[in-house]
Amino acid sequence: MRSTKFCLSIFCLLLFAAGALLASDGSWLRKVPAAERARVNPYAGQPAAAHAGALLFAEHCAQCHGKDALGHRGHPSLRSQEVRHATDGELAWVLRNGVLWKGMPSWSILPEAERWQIITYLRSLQPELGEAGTSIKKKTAVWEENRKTAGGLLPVPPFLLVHVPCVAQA
Amino acid sequence: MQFLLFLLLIGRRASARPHPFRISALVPQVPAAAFLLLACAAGGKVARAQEPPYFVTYSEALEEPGNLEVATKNLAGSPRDAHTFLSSTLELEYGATAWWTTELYLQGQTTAQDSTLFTGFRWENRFRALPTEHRLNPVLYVEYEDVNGADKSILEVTGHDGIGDLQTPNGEGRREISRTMEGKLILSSNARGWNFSENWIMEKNLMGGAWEYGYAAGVSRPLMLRGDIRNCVFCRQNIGAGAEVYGGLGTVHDFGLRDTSHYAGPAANLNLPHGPTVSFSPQFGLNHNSAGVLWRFDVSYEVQQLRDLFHQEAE
Repeated sequence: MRSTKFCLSIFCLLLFAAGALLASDGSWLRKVPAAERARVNPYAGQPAAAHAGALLFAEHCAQCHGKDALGHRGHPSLRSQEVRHATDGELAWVLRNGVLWKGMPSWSILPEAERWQIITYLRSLQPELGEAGTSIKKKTAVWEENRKTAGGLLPVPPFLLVHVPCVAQA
Repeated sequence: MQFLLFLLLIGRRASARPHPFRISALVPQVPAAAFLLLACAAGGKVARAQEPPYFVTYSEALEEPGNLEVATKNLAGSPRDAHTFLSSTLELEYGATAWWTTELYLQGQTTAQDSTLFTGFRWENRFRALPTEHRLNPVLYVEYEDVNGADKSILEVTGHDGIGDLQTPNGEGRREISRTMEGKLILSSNARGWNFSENWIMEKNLMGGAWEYGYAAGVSRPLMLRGDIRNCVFCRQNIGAGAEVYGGLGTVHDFGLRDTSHYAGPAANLNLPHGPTVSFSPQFGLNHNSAGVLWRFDVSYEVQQLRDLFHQEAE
């Protein structure tokens, strides 16, 4: 009987410790190390990678984030401002580590190349849907106007650099 | 499938005395099938599980939160001086959170020229210990097990477990009840597509007996690391291959390899897109105290976001 109590106590202690460790809050973006943030997607802008990424997304991600990545049943949209403004390196970090205290599991078991393909797919999504898309669309229109005025010499702003396919459409 | 496998295995002994195969051998699988059908009918999506092809070794991979994996783990063997047996374990694995997975196992076995019986259950929990990924990722494992001595599932090997346990007749083995607590330290790494996992096991029979120790280790890799642009079934990315080794390390009183059993073998799995995962492994006994060859065969289904079926869609 003493052994049972001892083992149950250990079990409860482990459960409490794990809960306490993971209960801390905060944006996952703030936790990304600088080196990870700056990583470059080797498949950026490649349509084949985006296509493969779409299949991987349907297999692993759509169950929570929806087929259209707009999120559902409390799971976040992947077309949000936060995701749009995140660098590829930041998205790669969150796929590898997850955000455990918010329910996002780690996908480190997927090969790194597959994770980059998923990110390539996310970048290829159309920006028209949702508030984030409206905002980026307006910014893109303003930039296009300014670029024409400047004779096509205006540098590409950061918010468009992470949306290569959108630039192509613009 | 199990019926055919079992017939194949006992075929060469059947001439001595026809074994009355009992349909009750499949009883442990009935709740799994019923539950799976229910979940599918209710709108749950069935998809592949994404795990390395290990049978005994645990990796850091936990079940995604809200998902339920239903698996049948089968083990067949013809140990020396014992009858051929087929052990079937039903596994229900649920992702409670992103860092906690809980599982229930229901175990049974059928032995040629002996009997078919339910051998017990186990309830296990795995906790991811660190919030981010590291070179070595620890996962804590706690399990309560209530099985009798006729159990032949060999989901781990500890202490002096050996071929003697497989040679005991069912009628004798079922009288020996053991209730044990088991802890594992799971260490797992992912590098360049490879997964390396090591498990250190400690087990204590709550009804008396010393602490027993064991180990398991595995290495695996998908055959291709990039996703294919085709939605194919037999693409190399869907196939995982690897190997694992496991065995006992004695007890707290006589720690070591003396009178312990050890197994090793290759393992492979096929993850069917939006379908089940099928795993197979022949595992070979490495010493005189081990059974010759154990044939393992698993099928697992993942019912995605089961808990969403009980939630209202938020507007």
